[in-house]
Order: sequence, then C-alpha cells, then structure tokens
Amino acid sequence: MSLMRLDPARGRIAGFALPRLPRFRALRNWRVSLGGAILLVVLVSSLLAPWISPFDPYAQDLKAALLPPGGSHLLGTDEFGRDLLSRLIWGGRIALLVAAVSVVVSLIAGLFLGLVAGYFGGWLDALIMRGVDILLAFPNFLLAIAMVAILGPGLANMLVAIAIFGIPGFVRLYRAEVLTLKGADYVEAARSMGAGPWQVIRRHILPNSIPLVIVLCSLRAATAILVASGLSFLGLGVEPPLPDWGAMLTNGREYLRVAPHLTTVPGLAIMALVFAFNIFGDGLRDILDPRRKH
Amino acid sequence: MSCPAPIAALAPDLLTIRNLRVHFPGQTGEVLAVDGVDLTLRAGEIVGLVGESGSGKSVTAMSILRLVPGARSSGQIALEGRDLIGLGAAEMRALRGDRIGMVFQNPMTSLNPAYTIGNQLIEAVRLHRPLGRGAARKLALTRLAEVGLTDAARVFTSYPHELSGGMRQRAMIAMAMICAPALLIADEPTTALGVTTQAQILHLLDRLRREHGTAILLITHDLAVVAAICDRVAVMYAGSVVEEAPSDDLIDRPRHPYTRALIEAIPSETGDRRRLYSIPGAALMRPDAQACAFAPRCATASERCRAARPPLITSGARGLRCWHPLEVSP
Repeated sequence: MSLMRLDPARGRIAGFALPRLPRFRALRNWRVSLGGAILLVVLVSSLLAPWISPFDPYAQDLKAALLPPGGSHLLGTDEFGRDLLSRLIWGGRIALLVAAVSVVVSLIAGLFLGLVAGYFGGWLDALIMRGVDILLAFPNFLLAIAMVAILGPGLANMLVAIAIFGIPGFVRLYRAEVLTLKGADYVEAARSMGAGPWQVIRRHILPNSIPLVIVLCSLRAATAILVASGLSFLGLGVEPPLPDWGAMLTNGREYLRVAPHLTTVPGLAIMALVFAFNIFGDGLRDILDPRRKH
Repeated sequence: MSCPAPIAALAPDLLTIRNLRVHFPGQTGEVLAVDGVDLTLRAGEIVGLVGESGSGKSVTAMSILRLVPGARSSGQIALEGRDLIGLGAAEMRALRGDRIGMVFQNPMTSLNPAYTIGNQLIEAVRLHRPLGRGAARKLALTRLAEVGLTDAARVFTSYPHELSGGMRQRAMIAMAMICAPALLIADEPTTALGVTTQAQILHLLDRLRREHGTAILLITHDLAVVAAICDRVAVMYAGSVVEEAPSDDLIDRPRHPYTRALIEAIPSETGDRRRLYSIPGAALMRPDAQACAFAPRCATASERCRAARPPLITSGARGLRCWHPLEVSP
C-alpha cells in the first residue's frame, strides 16, 4: 500500500484512472506470469514472423516432404515439404487476429448494449436481453457453423461469425456488472452532487468495471481461438494454403500414422495458446476482484 | 453548543415541506413510506429528523433531492421559493450539489475508489461552476482545509482507501459543501464512525453552518446527536412527523408518548443499572390511515386514537400529532 502512494498519477488510461492495478504484485501470481509468458512468446514470434521464420511458409519442396522433426527443419515438414515451424509461426498471426477481432467487436458491442440495458432498464433492457437470450439459446459452435454456411467459408466470414456470437455472453455479464455498480453508494453520492447519466457512466461505472472487462476479454479470446480452430478443422474457416493452426490439424490427419508431428505440433500450439488466455484471465480475476482480496 | 433559537427564528424560510407523501407502487400493493410530512428549515438552522428504522426519514430526505427511484411523491417541497416537485430533470440536476448538498452515512463506500479525493472534488465543482482546473483545485483545497483536514494537500492527492473513516467523512462533507449550498442534508453522518470522531464531525457541521449560513437537515436515530447540535427536532413515526419542537424543549418536556418512550430508551449515565426500557411491539409497515399510527404501541391510547388520525397541531414553536398529549410539568 505504501508503495502506491508514491505516484498518484499511476494507472491512468485515456482520461480515466484504472482502479489501481497492483502491477508488480501481478507477476507474483503464477497464473498471470505463466499465461503472460506464453502470450508474449506467441505475440512476439507472430510480429517478427518475416524475420525469424527459417523458411517461407508457402515454399514447397516435394523431395523433403513429411520429414520428421530435427535437422534443418526443426519441427519437420508437411506433405508438400513446407517447413512446419515457419507455418506455425505465421499461423500465430491468424490465431491472434481472430482473438483480437473477436475481442474488439464483443467489447464494443457488449459494452454499449450492456450499458444501455443495465443502466437505463425498461423496454430497451427487455428488448436487448431477449435478443441475447435468443442468441444464447443456440450452442455457440452451431451458430458459428450456421453463419459460415450462409456467408461461405473464408477468413473474413469466419471472423464475422465468431465476433458476432461472442457478443451475447459479454452483454449479459456486463449488464449484471452495470446493475451492481449502479447501486453503489458513490454513484448515489455522484447523483446527489448533480451528475447526470453520462457523467455517472463515464466517471463511475466504466472505470470501476475495467477489472471485469479485462477478464472477460481474455476469456473471450480463448473461446474465439478454439472456435476458429474448430471451424478451420471442419473446412469452414481459413482455406489453404494459409497457415492456420486448425487447417494444419486437418491436413495432418491423413498422415497421422506416418507423420504424427503434423497434428501434434499445431494441436499443442492451439492448446497452449487457449490455456495461456484462460489462466491469464483467471489470474487477473483473482488479483482484480476486490471481493476475493479481503 | 446549540445555537440560540431566536437568531434562526429571524431568518427567512429556506425549505418548506408541506404534506409530503411518497409511495412506492408495488405488485403486492402500494407502500406508503412517507405519509404527510410537514417541515420547515430556516437559513442557518440545524433541524434534526429523528425516528426509528423505516419511519421514512431517509426517504423524506432523498425526496428533497428527488433521488428516490421508483417513488411517486405528492405535496409541496419548496426551496428558496421554488417548488422542487415540479422541476424538470435538468433543472433538478443543476440544484443538486449546488444549492443542496448531501452527506451519506457510510464514508467507506460513498467515495469512488478509482479516483483521488482531489479529482472527485474538482469534478464536483466543475459540474456547477465554469472554473478552470487551477481555480477548481484552489477551491477544493480551501474546502478540505475548512473541514479540518490539516494536511489538505496530501488528502487532495490521496485515494479514498488511504484515508481513515473520519477523514473520508470530512472529505465527503468538503465535497457536499464545495459550492457552499444553502441546504446540507446529512443522512446519519456519524453512524459509521467511532465515538470521538462522531463528536468531531458534529462540531464540524455546527461550525460550517455558522461560517456559511448553511441550513442542515440532520437525519439520525440518536437523540444524543440531536441534543448536541440541533436547534429544532422533528420526530417521525410510521411516515409522518408526530412531534416537532426546539431540541431542549423536546428532550426536557416531550409531549408525544412516542417521543417520551424514545427518550426513556436512552441508557442513563447515572449508573442506574435497571433493565433498558424498550417500546413494546414493532412499527407497522402499513398503518391504518384512519387511526393514530402509534396507537397499537401506546400506553395511553383510547378509542378515539383507534378511530381517527390526529392532525398536526402547531402552537408557537412546537407541533404535535396526538389526541392525548402528555402534560408538561413546569
């Protein structure tokens, strides 16, 4: 606590102060540090893909097809002789793109709809929440498949499908948070000082809901990647020859006996990334949720 | 310590509440939380509003600010001659925090944990005054010093959790007083505090009304608080004012049986270790509108009390709602 007093300006983002994030203590939480480390590895390797990947991910070399891991191709090659490590590194870009788009869309739409429903209530609340109920009534994955079936396969359409089906869960959780914060004593105090709805939302509800939003985003990213991989595996998502982890998994299936690394490597990559997002979110929740602190 | 009543009596009426009724429409029928409250506050006066839990004192106070969600109010609430019940939402917002300030019961949760005290004070100023950040900061620091925070500069840059309960309540008072309102509503401002801090906060309120001429409506269930600083007291029972009098008069010579019962329920300091007195029965949530609400618990209740509701009769500085008032011993 005494450390925090040193710098009153800390923790400010875009005009509102974050409810003090215990920055360095966060790293003492093993979930946050492990999850964060994996995420950092994927992020850095994806950003640096053109420079660090040992081969062109699209370059075919039929003479070097289905090589086992080791040698100059560190993780082996696929049936066209493409370097698996390079494809894995480039595939990280697609995984992160899916996560980012899905999170941003769910975040913007979810915050807006959740705020309107939770803060203003009434018939708008009823309308929004019934819409959410309808979307939630379908299993997520089925809904995404249906949307891709309508729009046709491809990276862009898959992104749309995943982004949209991420909205309802976000709306529901955020609305609950808004309802809680709306009843807070400091919100009543702000109203008694003459604050209008906009000030109450901007200064009191949004900043105090940031912990929940961070957690929702990280869990949302994990689901999005899982669904994207699933869709690609079914041939409904990313199309060849793009190096997508889910698509790589499908390709490798045919060579499961002769070249098990073709499925194992992208499978492990998906697992590691989803695992990282999940424990990162869990860890953040433990740190940021004041109800767990005392 | 109590301000001599004559000074306040000369001041003009600041707040007049006439026949205020507040009800909550519900599925199981209507709940009448406030049933005919009449109350007058003059500038610079501290009036106590006393009653047990559920008697409607907080609802009455929040009705002045028109911040009771889901409630319907009728009657008249006039502040400086303007009827508040008929005001539009924007006009009402302009009054809140500017002409009427409010201090809440729990200083631990009434400040936003995400901002420094200074940030919250500056925001409060800028809701009502077209001041720059520098000028607003100066005003905020002045108010913090005024409420007895000696290290105002440090408090200004502190987050709420870095302050003690008493300091937070002072900061809350500084925020409520930031625009020097004509009326300050304090809803049990000392209930959540330690005994020494309680006394300090009461002294502070008394000093502020002297310095700024702010009228204070002090809601409490503690008659000791009333005796300490209030000029006048209104006692509420089941949604209406049953007795109103200058506080010394009320405590020394209660005329309503309920007021006397409240006073008897105060533990005495003189070492009389008998069993503590308590009023038999419990307050009804929905009393019979055609009878005195206190009749079921009253030792002196008659047929008349159960058949008709007594009106509020004022004589001089006192008001009383009782068919059988207690005799005042000279």
